[in-house]
Amino acid sequence: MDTENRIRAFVVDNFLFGKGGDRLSSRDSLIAQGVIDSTGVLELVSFVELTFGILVQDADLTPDNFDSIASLTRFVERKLPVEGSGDAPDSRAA
Amino acid sequence: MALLHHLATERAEHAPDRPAIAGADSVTTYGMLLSRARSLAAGLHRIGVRPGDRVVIVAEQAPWYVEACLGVLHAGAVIVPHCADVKPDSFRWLLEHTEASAVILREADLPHAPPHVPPRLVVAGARDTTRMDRDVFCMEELIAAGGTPRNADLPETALASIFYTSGTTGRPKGVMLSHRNLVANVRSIVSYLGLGPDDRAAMALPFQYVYGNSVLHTHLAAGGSIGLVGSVAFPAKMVSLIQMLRCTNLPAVASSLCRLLDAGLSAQHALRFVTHAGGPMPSSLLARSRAALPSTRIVLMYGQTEASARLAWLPPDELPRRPGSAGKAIPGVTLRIVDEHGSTQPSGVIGEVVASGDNVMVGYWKDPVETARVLRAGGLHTGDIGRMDEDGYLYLVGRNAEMIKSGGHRIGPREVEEVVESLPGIAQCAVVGVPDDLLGERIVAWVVAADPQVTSERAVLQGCFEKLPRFKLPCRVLFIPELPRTAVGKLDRRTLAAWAADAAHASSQPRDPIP
Repeated sequence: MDTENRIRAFVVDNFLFGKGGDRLSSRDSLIAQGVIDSTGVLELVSFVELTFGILVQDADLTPDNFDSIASLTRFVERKLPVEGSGDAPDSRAA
Repeated sequence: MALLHHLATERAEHAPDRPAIAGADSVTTYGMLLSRARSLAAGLHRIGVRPGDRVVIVAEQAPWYVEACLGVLHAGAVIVPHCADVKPDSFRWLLEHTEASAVILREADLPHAPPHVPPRLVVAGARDTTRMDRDVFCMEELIAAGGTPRNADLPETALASIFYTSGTTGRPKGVMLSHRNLVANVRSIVSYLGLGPDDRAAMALPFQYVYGNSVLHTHLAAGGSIGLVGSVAFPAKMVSLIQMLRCTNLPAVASSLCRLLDAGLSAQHALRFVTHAGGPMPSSLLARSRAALPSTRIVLMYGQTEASARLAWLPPDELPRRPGSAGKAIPGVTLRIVDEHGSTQPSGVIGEVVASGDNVMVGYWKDPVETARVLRAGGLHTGDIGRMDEDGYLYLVGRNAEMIKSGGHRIGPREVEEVVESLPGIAQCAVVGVPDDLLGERIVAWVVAADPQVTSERAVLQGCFEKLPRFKLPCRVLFIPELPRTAVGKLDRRTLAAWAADAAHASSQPRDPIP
């Protein structure tokens, strides 16, 4: 399963209790739609840290990164090690 | 005495260019706010809203919500705020119970509005309603058409707002607050906090509770402003907005303060004061706040929706001397401790807290029986148990035992239990709060299954999610063959809470802070 589908499956399973995922667009605001609240954001953080092996810093915890399935997918993919390099793109010296 | 919206109007006439609402990328001045609110009021009259009508507003942390509130008040109508997490079932119930003549809501909430009830829907935010598949009015168009609202000529005893609050019975109760109630409380709070035009509140509290509502109206009455700092779901962002918008005051509940301190809220943010309400402040959090914010005054407050908001405050100087106190009566309020016969007790004796003052509600909407139960013998019977010291400082020893306090929300167990009991395969349900480090309490549901084949933890959570806002959802559902009862046959919630605290040790994460 690709990153977006894994995130979507978690959101639908954990926050929507398996129902109504088809009505949730990847760009919908999870907070404005009532899908998550502030503890829900913390659950999302633990989920992406455990599932993708990335570290979420305090400064990463913004609506730009966590407020929709699409934005969270982009955030995770930016943080993921590049294939074969074993290094996170964010940490590579320019 | 004035009407509630007159307080901001005076400021607008006096200093129209001062900011009233500041956001990350916009400022609304008092002049703009007054002009838009009056135009909206004229628009509401044009579409048929009359003085005294109830207008439900789905709350959002946005300037339009403040404009809508003042617009409704200028129209002489009554604000009924509703939380942003709209569920069709409870929304329909609220519209019918209030017999609302209009609803102001976001476009995204339109699908939740039941057909035909009520007749008028006003969409906030959108500039074009022609593409919407319902017959709706556009708030911006109503404002753009301008006009002057007809003078409603209201007495100060007229209702200004109805706040729905959880009770021990199933559906929430509508607390009726008049202009006199709210103005009295606003003036009292402005005086004891010493609010002035340079004060700006970092507003992340929900507007649909009296705490958020009183922060709004006190800052407007003082000529100060509201800084819209987003959601505590993103605490680092909120901390940076507090700095960027130069907020001077932080109205908080325990869980939000805790997360902001975690995210780096510190002395450099130059907060003049932090107010705390919505449940007791844990002593560890108080110590941590005082260490992290040494030059910020920390003001503990106690109140109830039925009292417009505030009943008592603890001046910061008294904090070290009176640990554990909920404070003394605010100006204009009298607090007494009474025994079961209603007789006032001397200092040191434990009894029920009874309050009187102009801020005490008119009553519960369409509920004379419950009104008579709490408004009697010279005051508001709060249901809270406490004692007073010789100087009149209140110490609460027990609050209304059944109510669950989670992340600043007050949740009546019966409302959740009735939803669970309406689901297939359920015989009985009892909902309790268990201690939680961040939220204060979280919700656990004990369920007796009538047919274990058709129910499960997930099925119960699904069913609750369809009918309840997220903050009322249990974080766990535990099955039990039979609910424990006391010797006299009453549901034994204390035992259930103890069992739930044990069972919940290995549970999933809690949900339910202030969004």
